[in-house]
Amino acid sequence: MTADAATQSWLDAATEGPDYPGRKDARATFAKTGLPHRRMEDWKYTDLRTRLHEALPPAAPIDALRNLGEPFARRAQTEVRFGNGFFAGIKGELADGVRITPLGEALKEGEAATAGLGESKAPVGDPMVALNTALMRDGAVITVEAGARPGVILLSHEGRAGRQMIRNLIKLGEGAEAIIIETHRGGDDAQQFQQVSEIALGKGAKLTHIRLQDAGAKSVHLATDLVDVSESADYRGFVLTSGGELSRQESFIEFTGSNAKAHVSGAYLLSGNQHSDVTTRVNHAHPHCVSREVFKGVIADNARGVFQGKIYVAEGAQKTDGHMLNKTLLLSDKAEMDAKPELEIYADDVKCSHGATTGQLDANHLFYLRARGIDEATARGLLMQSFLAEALEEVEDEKIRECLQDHVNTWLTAHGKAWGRAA
Amino acid sequence: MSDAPSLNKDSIQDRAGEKYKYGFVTDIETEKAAKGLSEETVRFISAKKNEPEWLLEWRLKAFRRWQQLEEPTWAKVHYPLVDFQNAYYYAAPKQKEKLDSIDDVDPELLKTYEKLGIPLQEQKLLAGVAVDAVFDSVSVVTTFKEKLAEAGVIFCPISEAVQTHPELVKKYLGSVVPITDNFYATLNSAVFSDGSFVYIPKGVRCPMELSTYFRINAADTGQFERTLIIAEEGAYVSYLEGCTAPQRSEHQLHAAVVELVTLDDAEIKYSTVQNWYPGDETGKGGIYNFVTKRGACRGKRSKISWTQVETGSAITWKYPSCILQGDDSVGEFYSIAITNNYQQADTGTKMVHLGKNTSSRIISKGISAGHAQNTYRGLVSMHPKAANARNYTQCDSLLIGDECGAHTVPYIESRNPSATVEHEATTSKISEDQLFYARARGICEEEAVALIVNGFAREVMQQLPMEFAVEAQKLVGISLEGSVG
Amino acid sequence: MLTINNLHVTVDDKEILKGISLNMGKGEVHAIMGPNGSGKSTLSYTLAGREGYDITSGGILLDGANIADLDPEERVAKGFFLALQYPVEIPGVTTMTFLRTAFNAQKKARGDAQVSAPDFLRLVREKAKALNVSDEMLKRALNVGFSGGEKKRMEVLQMSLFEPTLAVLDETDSGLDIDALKVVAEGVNKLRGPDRSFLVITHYQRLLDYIVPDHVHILADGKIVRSGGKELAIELEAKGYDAVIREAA
Repeated sequence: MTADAATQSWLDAATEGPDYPGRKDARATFAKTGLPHRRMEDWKYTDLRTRLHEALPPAAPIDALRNLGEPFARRAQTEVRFGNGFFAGIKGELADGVRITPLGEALKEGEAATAGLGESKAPVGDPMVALNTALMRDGAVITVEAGARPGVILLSHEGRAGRQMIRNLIKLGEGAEAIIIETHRGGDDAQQFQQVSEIALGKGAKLTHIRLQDAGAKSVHLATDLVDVSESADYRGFVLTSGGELSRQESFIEFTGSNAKAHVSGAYLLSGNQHSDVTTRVNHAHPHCVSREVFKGVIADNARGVFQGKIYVAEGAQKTDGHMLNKTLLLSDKAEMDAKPELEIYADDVKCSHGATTGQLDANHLFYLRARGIDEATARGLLMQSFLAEALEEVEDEKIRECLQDHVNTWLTAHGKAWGRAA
Repeated sequence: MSDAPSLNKDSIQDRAGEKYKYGFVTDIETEKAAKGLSEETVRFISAKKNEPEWLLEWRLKAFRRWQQLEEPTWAKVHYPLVDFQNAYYYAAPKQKEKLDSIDDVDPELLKTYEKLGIPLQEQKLLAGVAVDAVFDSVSVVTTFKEKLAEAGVIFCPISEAVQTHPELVKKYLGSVVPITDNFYATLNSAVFSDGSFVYIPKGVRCPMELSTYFRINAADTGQFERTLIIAEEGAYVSYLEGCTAPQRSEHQLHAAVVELVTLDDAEIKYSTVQNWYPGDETGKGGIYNFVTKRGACRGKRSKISWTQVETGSAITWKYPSCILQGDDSVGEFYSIAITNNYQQADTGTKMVHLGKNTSSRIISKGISAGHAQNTYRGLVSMHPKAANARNYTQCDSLLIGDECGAHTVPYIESRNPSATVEHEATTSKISEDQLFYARARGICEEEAVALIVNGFAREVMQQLPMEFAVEAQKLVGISLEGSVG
Repeated sequence: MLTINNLHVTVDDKEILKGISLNMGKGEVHAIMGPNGSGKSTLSYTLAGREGYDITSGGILLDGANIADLDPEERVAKGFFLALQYPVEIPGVTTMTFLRTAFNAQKKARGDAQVSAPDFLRLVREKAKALNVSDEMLKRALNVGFSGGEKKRMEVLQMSLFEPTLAVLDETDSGLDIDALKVVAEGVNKLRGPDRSFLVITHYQRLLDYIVPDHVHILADGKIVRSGGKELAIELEAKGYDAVIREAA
């Protein structure tokens, strides 16, 4: 079967940098399926075959980075900087018990395998993960020793142009605790950014993982988190999406032991012609695990949001406690939201539920604010803030939450002109 | 003291395992078309029914299209592919002419109806219900035609409607489910043998509930029923459909198509109790039920409501849907789906909101036991012009035993900012506490399970016309409602 | 009429009852009092026949017949009734439906004729009135949205309907204020008689002011450590569990 033009362009994409084992196989895996398209159930609403027409040339490292990690940088002990997908130095101190090496180096020294490359329980044969394996250039290899508490680590990304393929390998030893923040910002030139993070939490480890995706206006931003949560471990993920022309955020959580927890949440703020897809899958392969998802979004102009969340409970995974909530406000006549919250359940002694709503602001609330003298645009802004707050509350760290809240408020103010007339 | 850890699972299994009491075969001579499906078969069927040219052409168009299609495999069900050439597509009991009254019916046939629990002679007649008893693809008797005729209601086999009201059939057939719709609908369009045709004229409230019974008899006969119900402005009808089928060792295919049309201010209430043979404890030999049911709320303020209790079939693929075109129209879907042993069900609904202020309500209760798989698959779609449209969906699954599965796959697509979609789904099991409590009050376990399951499904049960309440409750295993309030 | 003979019960691999012996005569009211964790609920669930409560040795005789191997509903048929501490909610099943199903199930088990719906309705209404249980409560789903007091009154209503020979009240007073307690106690007292015995399990002495017992037993760590008359309850109230249990050791 000959590949379509888009897939072919990716198969032909120049691969630079050191070779490493697994690269050839990864290419073959990608070739088998090609770029995902709408007839594949998981890509029903985000057809990459039509949207990734052609692979851009690989990006080059940036000489002088702007300081785009603020205001989170202030909260972090360690800032790992990336320019166009290339490691660009570490600012600040490296706490005890944590090792950070650029992936590029690990690949060169043949150390990637030891760092855990490919160990994660990614969906077998997933073409996009395979594509990343075939084309990855750099990333962060972060290892936190057992029992260590290295504080806040910031991975700040600036993207300017071209194709950027990143792979992160993050491992937390038994009982370790860490907070990792990622910021993704950059210029408005055409970019293709794909990041796959393989994250493994050891027994009893806790990771708070926060991402602010505010990529440039012509960016394609694909991020996949493959998270293995072992016995008694705790993963708290949060993604705030407001950038990129086309973005897909995937969180694939696998419980590899019992009594573990995973919270995967986020908020999306979309305008213009943005297309944002949040796809999560939590695999309760073991009993007594808890998962929670809260995703809230606001969609204006011609933008389109997609939410696909799947809770999978394997046979024997008794006492599973899994809940998912997705709520979206559409702000304009041309905005669109597609949601598919799924439950696939093979054990009976479980408590699982999901809720999804799409709609508009409560007219009563709006009236109340205006009856107290607040103009309509401000009132809408306030109500939207409170609407999004439920998702933001999933972020435990107050300072980080405030930074995220500021970002949301700025967006709401900037897009305040998008509404102001009753929908 | 009782020892098995999940006795509740066993008791439901027992009830399902109770010998399928409708498993018997009637001995009447049947006339069959040659096995297999070809253009000749289609022509044979059309000729046997004396159909006009336009209908034959319509069938042929569907048949030729079907030949190009591939059987779909996307549903979460697994089954051996159907051998379409290994079945009879037409079987009719030998009858001389149409019969006007019950007394003229072949007594063998009547005995069959009795065994099926269709008391043509008694309750139905006394209660004034008209019965269009379909037997093996050809309608044998239609009662109460006169009473309905007085009201102007037409209720007859579709093959008859083609002769007596061709302009109505031509206008609406295929307008809600076009021949291009899906694989099974296309097949049905080519080889449909019979079904009900109902037409309620302007402003008429159909004076009685209409019902139809189906039965597959001859071995390897697929059942391709085609039903068309039209309610003109301000009309109302409540239609009941109940199915039973005998035990067989080969799978039998049931691919029906039901089209409903409501004009301004009209309402159609369509209720189904489905009890097709589900296969034995090892999963062998049940009915494959692939049905396309769709209602078009064409008129303003019109309403179509689907209520179903599905307990049979080895495989079920069925999504009764509503196209809410007319402003202020309403679509409803109430469903109880029970799967046990090795049954597989992939069912749900599609509510497509096109018009302003349209609203839809979906209440789905799935009960899964044994090794069964029960999936709810639904679509709620709000189109750009569906201002102020509203949907509320509640999908609950009850798992009995730890070897079955319950799945929910809702698609929620919204393109209008003032439309509201609210979807909730939960999964649970019968709690030990509830079971113990009931037993601590002297209710034996089997009955306790039935009581609790009935409570779980109550909201849907309440939607059924009284007519079906009894049969439905028997199917779920309980009946004690209504003594207070 | 109830004989518990050196009963040992294990739950989740842990032995909770470590040799309980008790003799109750017809018409008697016995109270079992004990601190949290002493095994009170275990005793009541074991008597009721709940799964998960394993008798490792010893026996239970009701009117001379061994009931330890019977299913819960079989014990009910033999005249046993347990009023739960936490009555369970069953959504979608109206209280009336539940009562009638249970009532007829017991009739069937005893070989008696089933009661017709209107007769049953009359019977229930009669008993409900005495307990302040409204028609509206009967139409609601069983225990759903009921207050603590309403749930307990519902238990007593059931008891009066089923007319057991042995009724076990498991902390019937928990969560009730004085007024609710009085209504419940009154309902119970009305049911006292020469052919009916009560085992009242409680943490506090207060209930026993209203349901006055003939005998009081103190349960501690899975064993009955002391027995006495109704004065024992008052002594317990004055001294506290710790002291009384220590003295008994």
